[in-house]
Amino acid sequence: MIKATRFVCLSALLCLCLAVPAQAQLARTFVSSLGNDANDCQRLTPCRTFQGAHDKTLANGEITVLDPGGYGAVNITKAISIINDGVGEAGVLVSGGLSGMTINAGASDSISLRGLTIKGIGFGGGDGIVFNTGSSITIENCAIRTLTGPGIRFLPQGSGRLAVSNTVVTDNASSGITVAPVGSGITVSAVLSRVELHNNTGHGFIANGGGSTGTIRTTIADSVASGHGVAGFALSAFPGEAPTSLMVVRSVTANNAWGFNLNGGNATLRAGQSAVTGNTFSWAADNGAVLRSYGDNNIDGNADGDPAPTTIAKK
Amino acid sequence: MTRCRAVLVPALLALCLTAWPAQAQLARTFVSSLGNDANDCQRQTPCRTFQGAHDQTLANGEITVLDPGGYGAVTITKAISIINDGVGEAGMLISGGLTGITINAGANDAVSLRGLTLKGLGAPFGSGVGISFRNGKSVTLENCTLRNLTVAVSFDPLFATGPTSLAVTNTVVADSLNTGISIVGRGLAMTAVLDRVEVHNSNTLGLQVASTSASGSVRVTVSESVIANSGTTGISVGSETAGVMVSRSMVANNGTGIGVTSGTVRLGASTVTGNGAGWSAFPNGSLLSYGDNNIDGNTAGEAPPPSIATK
Repeated sequence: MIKATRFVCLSALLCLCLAVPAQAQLARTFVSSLGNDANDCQRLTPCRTFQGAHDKTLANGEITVLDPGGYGAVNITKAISIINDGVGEAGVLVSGGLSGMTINAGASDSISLRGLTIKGIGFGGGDGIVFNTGSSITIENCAIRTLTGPGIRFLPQGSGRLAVSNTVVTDNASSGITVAPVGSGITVSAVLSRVELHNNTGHGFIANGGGSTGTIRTTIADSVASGHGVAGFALSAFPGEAPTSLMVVRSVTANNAWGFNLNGGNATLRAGQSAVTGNTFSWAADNGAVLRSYGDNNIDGNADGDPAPTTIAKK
Repeated sequence: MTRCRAVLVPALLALCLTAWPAQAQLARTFVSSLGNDANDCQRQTPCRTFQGAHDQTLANGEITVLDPGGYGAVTITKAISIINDGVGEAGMLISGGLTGITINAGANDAVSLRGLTLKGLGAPFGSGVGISFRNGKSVTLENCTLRNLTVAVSFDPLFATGPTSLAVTNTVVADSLNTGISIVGRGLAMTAVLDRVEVHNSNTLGLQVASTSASGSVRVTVSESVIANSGTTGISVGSETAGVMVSRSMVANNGTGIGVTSGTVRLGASTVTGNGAGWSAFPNGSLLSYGDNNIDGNTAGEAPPPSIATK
């Protein structure tokens, strides 16, 4: 008994030494489904929820998930990483009109979310990940499903950068990923790679310049948008709104109402090496919107006769 | 006492199962966030840190991560693998200008790092370098995430006496305070192969290829990768002995997409978009295109590069 106690004390001390010393907050905190938010979030005394751990983590620190479980919604107000590297599901169930992850961080704060499963369960619904303020967010290896709002709602109130990779966004009763910044003269980007968007009621992906001036630049590579109520990939930007561009390469937009749906004279989509198939309308570019094809896309098997877009030269 | 025997028997069994019996060092060592570096790093008595395990691992051996936790900085001086195959975050927090993983191994030593998460703390503790390769034969980096570091990967074989190689796959490098991946030729042949690598939000350079010598080829390939939102340049090449092949990759929203001051970059089936300048090759650099790239939507610098034929 004495030996066991001593061992625990020693280990705890060791953990303490490896972290930043003598602070109420720690550089690395731990969550466990068997934890308790009254704890200090150390390895042997983990917290129970992401919010409990967030509040005890230093800026630029990390929350490490110890085991499978539900970890609750979190309001992120600083630079932080939440990392689950394959211990099992690190889940957040969303209801009551709330959001799973809300980012209200400082203008220079970078956020990283990895290996999370965010799921809506009805009961008033909600959004998956909502980004309001911060410098950047990197989302990896996540699954975001069955929300009543968008899976990812990127609406920075200032310049901001979204990166999503290796992530699945499906079955949401709104759009999969929405980029809609708010502000004047701001630069906003979204870079998606290996993202799977399936069966969302709205668009798979939409960037909307309607709330901002400045620039919105988005790219999608090696990704799939399928089975959407509206468009696989959509843009909306009218004169006076932020010029909004989307580059789609090596991707698939299939079995949606529209493959591409572009609206407004400040919207530009370029597509290369991609497939547009099985959609009711292969594409629409309305009110001065521009769609350009590199001439190497597979646009066939849609119900509208598969019109060929204007091409631009590869270089 | 009875409990003691219960611990001893499996420990003995583990010893018998390892390849190198009755040695101070083991072919396979284990680390756990509940371990202790006073242990022998066996399965039931794991070590606490990568350095503790490294020092008790035979050359060409492996360190196996048992559970999530922070495992501290390590200096690698031999051929070794550090493997986290999805047991949870195998993390390392880096501060004070220090380096997370320093590789200073022998000329024939291959190092493998898998499933590691390295992060710089930043103010007020300072950040540091993620992985610094100074000597060895090769390092293979898989399934890693490196964030908020001054330089995430510094492949700079300053002390090497022979050829060196770097391979990076399925890895995310984000929010670097200076440069994401820096490859520096030191006068000897070197290769770097990047596949499915994402480099986001570097304050200055996403990927840097440079040399301190006019000799020693520097061959770099980048495939199925993304380099985005670098403050200065996405892919920066300034090495007269460098040949860089960029294939099926995305270079987006950087100050300059691809900047070549010396050496040659060849670009195929790739996209350069949203950059301040798409590309520049000046004064001695050369960018050659296979004629199948999407170079549009940049503020400037998107004229067709000189082309070379696909074959």
